[in-house]
Amino acid sequence: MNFGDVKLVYVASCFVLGLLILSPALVEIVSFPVGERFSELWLLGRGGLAEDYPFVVSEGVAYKIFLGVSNHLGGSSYYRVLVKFRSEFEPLPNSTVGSPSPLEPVFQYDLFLGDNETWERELNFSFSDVLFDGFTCRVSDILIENYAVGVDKVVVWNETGKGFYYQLFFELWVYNSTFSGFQFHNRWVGLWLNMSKPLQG
Amino acid sequence: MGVAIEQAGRDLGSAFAAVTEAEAAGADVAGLMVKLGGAGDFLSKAYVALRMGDYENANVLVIKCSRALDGVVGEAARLKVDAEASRGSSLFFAVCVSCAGLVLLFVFGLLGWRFLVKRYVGAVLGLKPMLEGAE
Repeated sequence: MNFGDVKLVYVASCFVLGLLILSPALVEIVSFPVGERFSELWLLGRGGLAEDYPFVVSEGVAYKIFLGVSNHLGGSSYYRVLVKFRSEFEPLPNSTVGSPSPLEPVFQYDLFLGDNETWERELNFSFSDVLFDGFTCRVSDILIENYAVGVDKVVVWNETGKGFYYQLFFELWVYNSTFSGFQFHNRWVGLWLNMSKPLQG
Repeated sequence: MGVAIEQAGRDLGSAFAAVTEAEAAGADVAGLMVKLGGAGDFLSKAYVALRMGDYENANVLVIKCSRALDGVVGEAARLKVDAEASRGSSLFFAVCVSCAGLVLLFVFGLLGWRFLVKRYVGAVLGLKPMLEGAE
C-alpha cells in the first residue's frame, strides 16, 4: 500500500466517523421517505372470516357481519363509515371518478384511528315491514344496531338472478382538516342481499 | 336539532385538528384519541337518531358528545407546547453533542495524521540502504 492509498483510507474513515457523529442531529432535522399511505376497509362474515356472508335474507331474522377499517396514512385519522342501503337499480359509488353514492346513509360510524391502528366491529342487521306483492318487494325498515331506520325500497323480480336484490354497502370517508370537512376516500364494500319470504313454521 | 348536530360535528373536527397538530409536534395523543373516539360514537348515534326522527334522543347524544370533548382542545394545545419544547431541547442537545464530536474528530484526526505520517516516513527511512566503510 503506497502513501496515496493510506491517505485515501484515512480520509474516508474520518468522513464515515463524521457522519456517525452527526447522525443524532441529522435524525432530528432530516425527514426520511415513508412508505405508501393508504386506508383499508373490509367486511367479514359472521365467523369473522371472508366466508359465510348473508345472502338470502328475510324479514325478522338477525344477520351478523364484521366491518373493519385500518389506518396507514402516516398519522392519526378521523374516519366516517356511511352505511347505505339500495335497491339493485339505485346508484353505487363511482370508483373511477371517486364520487360517493348520492343515497342517504341509514347508519354511520365515526372513528378515530392512530397510524397502523385497526378498528373492527360486529354489525347486526335485520329487516322489518317487508311486503311481497306479485313481482315486487318493498322493504320499509332496516334495523342496524337496534336502530330502526325507514328506507322504503321497492325492487322488481330479477328474472336473471331469480330474486329480489338489494345491497347493503359501506363507504369510507376521511376528515380533511384543511377544509374542515369529510371527503369520500374512494373506498367502499358491499353485500348483495336476496330478499325472500320467511319460511312458514 | 340539525344545527346542533352540525355544530357538534364541527367541534369534533376542530378538536381532531388540535390533536393532530399536537401529534405532529411529537406529543403522545393516545389518551386524547380515546376521548375523541367516545365523542365520535355519540355523534354518529345522534345522526342516526335524527334520521329516525327521535329528536329527544338526538339532543341527549349531542350533549354527551359535547361533554366528551370538554378540555380536549386545551389538553391538545398543552401537549403541543410541551412536545415542541421537548423537541427543541432534544435538537439542541443533539446538535451540541454532534458539534463536540466533530471538534474531537478534527483534533484527533490531525494528531492521528501526524502520527501516521511520522511512522510512514520512519518506515521509508528504515528501508534506505546503508553505505558500509564510508567515513
